[in-house]
This record gives sequence, C-alpha cells and structure tokens, in this order.
Amino acid sequence: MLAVKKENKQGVLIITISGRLDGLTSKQFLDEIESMVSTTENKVILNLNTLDYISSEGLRSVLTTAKKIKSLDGKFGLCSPLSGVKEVLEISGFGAMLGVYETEELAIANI
Amino acid sequence: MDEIKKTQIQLKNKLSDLAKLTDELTLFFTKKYEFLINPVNLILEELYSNSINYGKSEVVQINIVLDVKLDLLTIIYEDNGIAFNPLSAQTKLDLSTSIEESEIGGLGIHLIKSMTDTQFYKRYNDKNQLTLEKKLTQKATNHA
Repeated sequence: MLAVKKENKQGVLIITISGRLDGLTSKQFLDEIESMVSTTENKVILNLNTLDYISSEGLRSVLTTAKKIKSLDGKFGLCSPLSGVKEVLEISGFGAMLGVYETEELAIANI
Repeated sequence: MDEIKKTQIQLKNKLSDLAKLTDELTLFFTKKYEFLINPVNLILEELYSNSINYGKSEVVQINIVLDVKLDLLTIIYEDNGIAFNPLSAQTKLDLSTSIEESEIGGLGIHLIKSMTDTQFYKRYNDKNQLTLEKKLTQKATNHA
C-alpha cells in the first residue's frame, strides 16, 4: 500500500513515497521516516512522483514530518506531485505552506 | 443518453475497511469515470474517519450510495452515530495559524466542500445523512 525509500543527492536526503498515504498507512510512514531522518540530515525533500493518493490523515503526517525537520533547524520541501495529489495540496493550503517544486532538480537547487 | 450507474457500499467500524472502500470504488468507477476514484475515496475516507472517531456508537454502521446520472454524481452517506452535522463544523482554514489545530471536521470538511458542488445534511431515524453532489464537468475530466 505504501513504500518509502531514501537516497542522498548532493547532500540532500530525497525520500520517495509510492502508493497511498492515508488513514491506513500514515503510521507506517511516520515510523519509517523516524528511522530515516537523523539529526545530521538538514535538507529533506519528499518526492511525490509515485504517490497515487493522499487524504487529510496523510497530509497531517507530512506536516508532522515537516515540523520535526524544521525543529532541528532543517529544510523541508515537496516535489513532483501527480495531478490528483497536487490538487489536494492546493485545496488544503499545505502546498503553499510547505513549498512544492515541479521537479526534484528544482527542489535540490532551491531548498 | 448518458450511462446510469448506481451502487451501495456498507462499512463497519474498522479502519481496515478503508481498503474495502477503495476496492469497491475501483470496481464502480470504470472507464470514463475512473478519474472519480481518488476524489470520491478522499471524501468518503474523511466521513468514515469522522464516524469511527466521533460517532460514539458501539457498532458503527455506514451505508453509502453512489449514483451517476446525466453528468451528476450524487453521494449519500449515512451513519448511526450521535447527531452531528459535519457541515456546521468550522471550515474556513486559517493558514496563518496551525493546520494541526484545525481538527477533523475542519480540514476534512474543507476538502469535501471544495471537491463537491452541493452539500445537504439531515437527521432522521437516528441516523446522520449527508448528501453531496458533484457536477462531472469537462474540467473534472481533465484531472484524470
């Protein structure tokens, strides 16, 4: 239902999530993020280009992650949402609040 | 004449029924209606979470009717929880303050109102019934 993987690019931690981020998977997401983001990581980008679905429960877990990284003086951004997820980010105001980049390259350059 | 489609979905009080919901929607919204799977899933997940978390009934019973007719989607959502009109919840999200503070019934209902055209609530036979309508415009089709 949800897969989370990480890689480092130019000193930025890219976390790619695939599948569905909702009431069923948001706890798994938070658990996996917890183990991926360490205090030494200060730039984190969530790549959404394989995320099919997000609900308000999923949005909350993204917000929790963003807040945690920012509380460690880190930077956080989102990139490459598909149209459905993009629409939810826009309607909810989360996109404007968290920062959404069109591509991963733009996110890495501007975060 | 456009195709007429109608289905009924029943859910119980386990969040794991969310997977069943997605399966049912995938079966119902096929071909040119496929673009409705995710938006309708989102709307129903918000309502279902509300029913489970705040309905306060021992055995939660949810009945959902989906009806597509002449480019209009009608969603009827019923639960047996305590009387609650979700449309009366505060929905103006104040983004200058914390979104986390806007509890369920805030963010979820804001999404529902934004993604449907009309919303109507009534209480009858100890049930909450919410009727939502969504016009299936060309613009919506482009979101496929």
